[in-house]
Amino acid sequence: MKRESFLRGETAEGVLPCEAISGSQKMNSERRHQELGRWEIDLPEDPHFHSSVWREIAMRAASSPANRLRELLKCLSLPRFAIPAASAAIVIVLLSASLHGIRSREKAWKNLALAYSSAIDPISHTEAISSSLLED
Amino acid sequence: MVKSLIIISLSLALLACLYGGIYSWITKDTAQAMQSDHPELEWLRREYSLSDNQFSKIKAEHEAHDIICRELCHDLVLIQKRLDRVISTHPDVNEEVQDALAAWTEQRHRCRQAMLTHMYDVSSVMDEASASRYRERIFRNLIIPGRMPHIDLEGEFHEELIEHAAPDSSASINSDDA
Repeated sequence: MKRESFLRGETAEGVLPCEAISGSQKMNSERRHQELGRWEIDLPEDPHFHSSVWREIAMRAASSPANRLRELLKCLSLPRFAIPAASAAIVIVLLSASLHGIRSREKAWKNLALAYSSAIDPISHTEAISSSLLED
Repeated sequence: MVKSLIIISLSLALLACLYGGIYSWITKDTAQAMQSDHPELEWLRREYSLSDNQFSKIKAEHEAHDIICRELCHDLVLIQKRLDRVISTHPDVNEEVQDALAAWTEQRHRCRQAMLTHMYDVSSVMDEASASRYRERIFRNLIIPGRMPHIDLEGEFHEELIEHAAPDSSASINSDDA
Protein backbone atom coordinates (compact mmCIF):
# COMPACT_ATOMS: atom_id res chain seq x y z
CA MET A 1 0.00 0.00 0.00
CA LYS A 2 2.79 2.29 0.97
CA ARG A 3 4.71 1.31 -2.11
CA GLU A 4 1.74 2.14 -4.34
CA SER A 5 1.31 5.45 -2.60
CA PHE A 6 4.95 6.22 -3.17
CA LEU A 7 4.69 5.40 -6.82
CA ARG A 8 1.72 7.68 -7.10
CA GLY A 9 3.85 10.49 -5.59
CA GLU A 10 2.32 10.44 -2.10
CA THR A 11 4.53 11.78 0.64
CA ALA A 12 4.17 12.58 4.37
CA GLU A 13 3.06 16.01 3.33
CA GLY A 14 0.29 14.71 1.15
CA VAL A 15 0.05 13.81 -2.51
CA LEU A 16 2.49 15.75 -4.56
CA PRO A 17 1.06 17.40 -7.57
CA CYS A 18 2.25 16.30 -10.93
CA GLU A 19 4.15 19.51 -11.32
CA ALA A 20 6.01 18.72 -8.11
CA ILE A 21 7.00 15.25 -9.36
CA SER A 22 8.05 16.42 -12.74
CA GLY A 23 9.92 19.24 -11.07
CA SER A 24 11.73 16.91 -8.73
CA GLN A 25 14.95 18.60 -9.61
CA LYS A 26 13.84 21.25 -7.20
CA MET A 27 13.79 18.70 -4.35
CA ASN A 28 17.03 18.88 -2.49
CA SER A 29 19.11 15.76 -2.31
CA GLU A 30 18.93 15.43 1.48
CA ARG A 31 15.16 15.25 1.43
CA ARG A 32 15.22 12.83 -1.41
CA HIS A 33 17.55 10.56 0.52
CA GLN A 34 15.30 10.75 3.56
CA GLU A 35 12.30 9.79 1.49
CA LEU A 36 14.16 6.92 -0.13
CA GLY A 37 15.47 5.78 3.21
CA ARG A 38 11.98 5.65 4.57
CA TRP A 39 10.91 3.39 1.78
CA GLU A 40 13.96 1.13 1.78
CA ILE A 41 13.11 -2.51 2.50
CA ASP A 42 15.48 -3.96 4.99
CA LEU A 43 15.60 -7.72 4.36
CA PRO A 44 17.62 -9.96 6.66
CA GLU A 45 20.75 -11.18 4.83
CA ASP A 46 20.88 -14.92 3.95
CA PRO A 47 24.01 -16.33 5.59
CA HIS A 48 24.30 -19.09 2.92
CA PHE A 49 23.76 -16.78 -0.02
CA HIS A 50 27.33 -16.81 -1.32
CA SER A 51 27.90 -20.50 -0.81
CA SER A 52 24.56 -21.27 -2.54
CA VAL A 53 25.52 -19.18 -5.54
CA TRP A 54 28.91 -20.86 -5.83
CA ARG A 55 27.36 -24.29 -5.39
CA GLU A 56 24.89 -23.54 -8.18
CA ILE A 57 27.70 -22.35 -10.46
CA ALA A 58 29.74 -25.47 -9.70
CA MET A 59 26.76 -27.72 -10.38
CA ARG A 60 26.04 -26.09 -13.73
CA ALA A 61 29.69 -26.26 -14.74
CA ALA A 62 29.94 -29.91 -13.75
CA SER A 63 26.85 -30.89 -15.74
CA SER A 64 28.41 -29.93 -19.10
CA PRO A 65 29.45 -32.96 -21.23
CA ALA A 66 33.09 -31.91 -21.37
CA ASN A 67 33.26 -31.71 -17.61
CA ARG A 68 31.50 -35.00 -17.17
CA LEU A 69 34.04 -36.58 -19.52
CA ARG A 70 36.83 -34.94 -17.60
CA GLU A 71 35.43 -36.29 -14.35
CA LEU A 72 35.09 -39.75 -15.85
CA LEU A 73 38.64 -39.70 -17.12
CA LYS A 74 39.82 -38.52 -13.75
CA CYS A 75 37.98 -41.40 -12.09
CA LEU A 76 39.31 -43.93 -14.58
CA SER A 77 42.86 -42.78 -14.03
CA LEU A 78 42.58 -43.78 -10.38
CA PRO A 79 43.82 -47.36 -9.90
CA ARG A 80 40.84 -48.34 -7.74
CA PHE A 81 38.47 -47.52 -10.63
CA ALA A 82 40.79 -48.30 -13.56
CA ILE A 83 41.43 -51.93 -12.60
CA PRO A 84 37.75 -52.96 -12.27
CA ALA A 85 36.82 -51.00 -15.42
CA ALA A 86 39.56 -52.67 -17.46
CA SER A 87 38.64 -56.09 -16.05
CA ALA A 88 34.97 -55.57 -16.87
CA ALA A 89 35.80 -54.41 -20.40
CA ILE A 90 37.99 -57.49 -20.98
CA VAL A 91 35.32 -59.85 -19.66
CA ILE A 92 32.62 -58.21 -21.80
CA VAL A 93 34.82 -58.41 -24.91
CA LEU A 94 35.72 -62.05 -24.22
CA LEU A 95 32.11 -63.06 -23.70
CA SER A 96 30.64 -61.15 -26.63
CA ALA A 97 33.37 -62.26 -29.07
CA SER A 98 32.97 -65.88 -27.95
CA LEU A 99 29.19 -65.81 -28.29
CA HIS A 100 29.35 -64.09 -31.67
CA GLY A 101 32.00 -66.52 -32.89
CA ILE A 102 30.11 -69.61 -31.69
CA ARG A 103 26.88 -68.43 -33.29
CA SER A 104 28.57 -67.62 -36.60
CA ARG A 105 30.34 -70.96 -36.55
CA GLU A 106 27.13 -72.90 -35.92
CA LYS A 107 25.35 -71.01 -38.65
CA ALA A 108 28.18 -71.61 -41.11
CA TRP A 109 28.20 -75.36 -40.40
CA LYS A 110 24.43 -75.53 -40.80
CA ASN A 111 24.67 -73.74 -44.12
CA LEU A 112 27.33 -76.19 -45.24
CA ALA A 113 25.14 -79.11 -44.17
CA LEU A 114 22.37 -77.64 -46.29
CA ALA A 115 24.79 -77.12 -49.17
CA TYR A 116 25.85 -80.77 -48.95
CA SER A 117 22.25 -82.00 -48.99
CA SER A 118 21.54 -79.79 -51.95
CA ALA A 119 24.73 -80.84 -53.76
CA ILE A 120 23.91 -84.54 -53.75
CA ASP A 121 20.23 -84.18 -54.59
CA PRO A 122 19.32 -83.50 -58.25
CA ILE A 123 15.78 -82.58 -57.24
CA SER A 124 17.06 -79.90 -54.88
CA HIS A 125 19.23 -78.60 -57.72
CA THR A 126 16.21 -78.43 -59.99
CA GLU A 127 14.12 -76.71 -57.33
CA ALA A 128 16.87 -74.17 -56.81
CA ILE A 129 17.05 -73.52 -60.55
CA SER A 130 13.25 -73.26 -60.80
CA SER A 131 13.04 -70.84 -57.89
CA SER A 132 15.86 -68.71 -59.33
CA LEU A 133 14.04 -68.67 -62.69
CA LEU A 134 10.83 -67.64 -60.92
CA GLU A 135 12.68 -64.85 -59.11
CA ASP A 136 14.10 -63.63 -62.42
CA MET B 1 43.15 -35.06 -20.03
CA VAL B 2 44.99 -35.73 -23.32
CA LYS B 3 47.05 -38.47 -21.71
CA SER B 4 43.89 -40.13 -20.40
CA LEU B 5 42.28 -39.91 -23.84
CA ILE B 6 45.31 -41.53 -25.46
CA ILE B 7 45.30 -44.34 -22.90
CA ILE B 8 41.57 -44.95 -23.39
CA SER B 9 41.89 -44.91 -27.21
CA LEU B 10 44.73 -47.41 -27.05
CA SER B 11 42.72 -49.57 -24.67
CA LEU B 12 39.73 -49.53 -27.02
CA ALA B 13 41.95 -50.46 -29.97
CA LEU B 14 43.43 -53.27 -27.91
CA LEU B 15 39.94 -54.50 -26.97
CA ALA B 16 38.87 -54.41 -30.63
CA CYS B 17 41.93 -56.47 -31.56
CA LEU B 18 41.11 -58.90 -28.75
CA TYR B 19 37.53 -59.22 -30.04
CA GLY B 20 38.72 -59.85 -33.60
CA GLY B 21 41.32 -62.32 -32.45
CA ILE B 22 38.88 -64.38 -30.39
CA TYR B 23 36.25 -64.30 -33.14
CA SER B 24 38.68 -65.44 -35.84
CA TRP B 25 40.12 -68.11 -33.52
CA ILE B 26 36.64 -69.56 -32.89
CA THR B 27 35.57 -69.38 -36.55
CA LYS B 28 38.94 -70.55 -37.89
CA ASP B 29 37.69 -73.99 -38.94
CA THR B 30 34.66 -72.67 -40.83
CA ALA B 31 36.81 -70.04 -42.56
CA GLN B 32 39.21 -72.77 -43.67
CA ALA B 33 36.30 -74.95 -44.82
CA MET B 34 34.90 -72.08 -46.89
CA GLN B 35 38.21 -71.69 -48.68
CA SER B 36 38.41 -75.34 -49.73
CA ASP B 37 37.30 -76.76 -53.12
CA HIS B 38 34.19 -78.37 -51.66
CA PRO B 39 33.16 -76.59 -48.46
CA GLU B 40 30.13 -78.90 -48.09
CA LEU B 41 32.47 -81.91 -47.94
CA GLU B 42 34.37 -80.23 -45.14
CA TRP B 43 31.12 -80.30 -43.19
CA LEU B 44 30.86 -84.03 -43.93
CA ARG B 45 34.44 -84.58 -42.78
CA ARG B 46 33.80 -82.78 -39.52
CA GLU B 47 30.33 -84.19 -38.87
CA TYR B 48 31.37 -87.83 -39.38
CA SER B 49 34.99 -87.53 -38.20
CA LEU B 50 36.39 -88.79 -41.49
CA SER B 51 40.03 -89.73 -41.84
CA ASP B 52 42.05 -88.32 -44.75
CA ASN B 53 41.76 -91.64 -46.59
CA GLN B 54 38.00 -91.79 -46.13
CA PHE B 55 37.70 -88.17 -47.12
CA SER B 56 39.62 -88.60 -50.37
CA LYS B 57 37.46 -91.61 -51.31
CA ILE B 58 34.27 -89.74 -50.51
CA LYS B 59 35.51 -86.72 -52.44
CA ALA B 60 36.05 -88.91 -55.51
CA GLU B 61 32.56 -90.39 -55.07
CA HIS B 62 31.13 -86.91 -54.67
CA GLU B 63 32.77 -85.60 -57.83
CA ALA B 64 31.59 -88.61 -59.84
CA HIS B 65 28.07 -88.21 -58.46
CA ASP B 66 28.15 -84.51 -59.27
CA ILE B 67 28.42 -85.28 -63.00
CA ILE B 68 25.45 -87.69 -62.82
CA CYS B 69 23.56 -85.24 -60.66
CA ARG B 70 23.98 -82.41 -63.17
CA GLU B 71 22.76 -84.58 -66.04
CA LEU B 72 19.73 -85.73 -64.07
CA CYS B 73 19.07 -82.18 -63.02
CA HIS B 74 19.28 -80.95 -66.62
CA ASP B 75 16.83 -83.62 -67.79
CA LEU B 76 14.51 -82.92 -64.90
CA VAL B 77 14.46 -79.20 -65.73
CA LEU B 78 13.51 -79.99 -69.34
CA ILE B 79 10.80 -82.46 -68.30
CA GLN B 80 9.47 -80.02 -65.73
CA LYS B 81 9.30 -77.26 -68.33
CA ARG B 82 7.40 -79.59 -70.62
CA LEU B 83 5.00 -80.47 -67.82
CA ASP B 84 4.45 -76.79 -67.02
CA ARG B 85 3.78 -76.00 -70.67
CA VAL B 86 1.39 -78.94 -71.12
CA ILE B 87 -0.55 -78.16 -67.95
CA SER B 88 -0.92 -74.50 -68.87
CA THR B 89 -2.07 -75.21 -72.43
CA HIS B 90 -4.43 -78.15 -71.86
CA PRO B 91 -7.68 -77.46 -70.04
CA ASP B 92 -8.25 -81.12 -69.06
CA VAL B 93 -6.27 -84.24 -68.23
CA ASN B 94 -5.55 -85.83 -71.57
CA GLU B 95 -2.93 -88.29 -72.75
CA GLU B 96 -0.26 -85.66 -73.28
CA VAL B 97 -0.69 -84.31 -69.76
CA GLN B 98 -0.52 -87.84 -68.35
CA ASP B 99 2.61 -88.59 -70.39
CA ALA B 100 4.32 -85.43 -69.21
CA LEU B 101 3.35 -86.18 -65.63
CA ALA B 102 4.57 -89.77 -65.93
CA ALA B 103 7.87 -88.60 -67.41
CA TRP B 104 8.27 -86.09 -64.59
CA THR B 105 7.52 -88.72 -61.92
CA GLU B 106 9.87 -91.18 -63.58
CA GLN B 107 12.68 -88.63 -63.75
CA ARG B 108 12.22 -87.73 -60.11
CA HIS B 109 12.33 -91.41 -59.27
CA ARG B 110 15.60 -91.71 -61.24
CA CYS B 111 17.00 -88.80 -59.29
CA ARG B 112 16.00 -90.39 -55.99
CA GLN B 113 17.57 -93.68 -57.02
CA ALA B 114 20.81 -91.98 -58.03
CA MET B 115 20.92 -90.23 -54.71
CA LEU B 116 20.16 -93.43 -52.83
CA THR B 117 23.01 -95.17 -54.66
CA HIS B 118 25.33 -92.31 -53.83
CA MET B 119 24.21 -92.37 -50.22
CA TYR B 120 25.15 -96.05 -49.93
CA ASP B 121 28.45 -95.50 -51.79
CA VAL B 122 29.44 -92.76 -49.38
CA SER B 123 28.30 -94.63 -46.29
CA SER B 124 30.28 -97.72 -47.35
CA VAL B 125 33.46 -95.69 -46.85
CA MET B 126 32.50 -94.62 -43.31
CA ASP B 127 32.65 -96.64 -40.14
CA GLU B 128 29.48 -98.45 -39.16
CA ALA B 129 28.09 -95.96 -36.64
CA SER B 130 28.81 -92.95 -38.83
CA ALA B 131 27.42 -94.73 -41.89
CA SER B 132 24.18 -95.51 -40.11
CA ARG B 133 23.88 -91.93 -38.86
CA TYR B 134 24.67 -90.56 -42.33
CA ARG B 135 22.08 -92.75 -44.07
CA GLU B 136 19.48 -91.87 -41.47
CA ARG B 137 20.15 -88.16 -41.94
CA ILE B 138 20.08 -88.24 -45.74
CA PHE B 139 17.01 -90.45 -45.77
CA ARG B 140 15.18 -88.25 -43.28
CA ASN B 141 16.17 -85.00 -44.99
CA LEU B 142 16.13 -85.80 -48.67
CA ILE B 143 14.51 -89.10 -49.52
CA ILE B 144 11.30 -88.73 -47.51
CA PRO B 145 9.18 -86.28 -49.53
CA GLY B 146 8.62 -82.98 -47.80
CA ARG B 147 11.57 -83.28 -45.47
CA MET B 148 13.99 -80.75 -46.88
CA PRO B 149 16.47 -78.78 -44.86
CA HIS B 150 16.03 -75.16 -45.78
CA ILE B 151 16.87 -71.63 -44.76
CA ASP B 152 13.89 -69.39 -44.23
CA LEU B 153 13.61 -65.73 -45.21
CA GLU B 154 15.22 -64.65 -41.95
CA GLY B 155 18.24 -66.83 -42.64
CA GLU B 156 17.38 -69.44 -40.02
CA PHE B 157 18.11 -73.08 -40.72
CA HIS B 158 15.25 -75.60 -40.44
CA GLU B 159 14.93 -79.29 -40.96
CA GLU B 160 11.32 -79.76 -39.93
CA LEU B 161 8.61 -81.18 -42.15
CA ILE B 162 7.26 -78.92 -44.81
CA GLU B 163 3.59 -79.78 -44.45
CA HIS B 164 2.36 -78.64 -47.84
CA ALA B 165 5.09 -80.67 -49.54
CA ALA B 166 4.47 -83.80 -47.51
CA PRO B 167 0.82 -84.81 -47.63
CA ASP B 168 1.62 -88.15 -46.00
CA SER B 169 3.49 -86.55 -43.13
CA SER B 170 0.33 -85.68 -41.19
CA ALA B 171 -0.73 -89.32 -41.32
CA SER B 172 2.67 -90.43 -40.00
CA ILE B 173 2.59 -87.79 -37.26
CA ASN B 174 -0.89 -88.86 -36.24
CA SER B 175 0.14 -92.52 -36.21
CA ASP B 176 3.15 -91.55 -34.04
CA ASP B 177 0.85 -89.76 -31.61
CA ALA B 178 -1.45 -92.79 -31.45
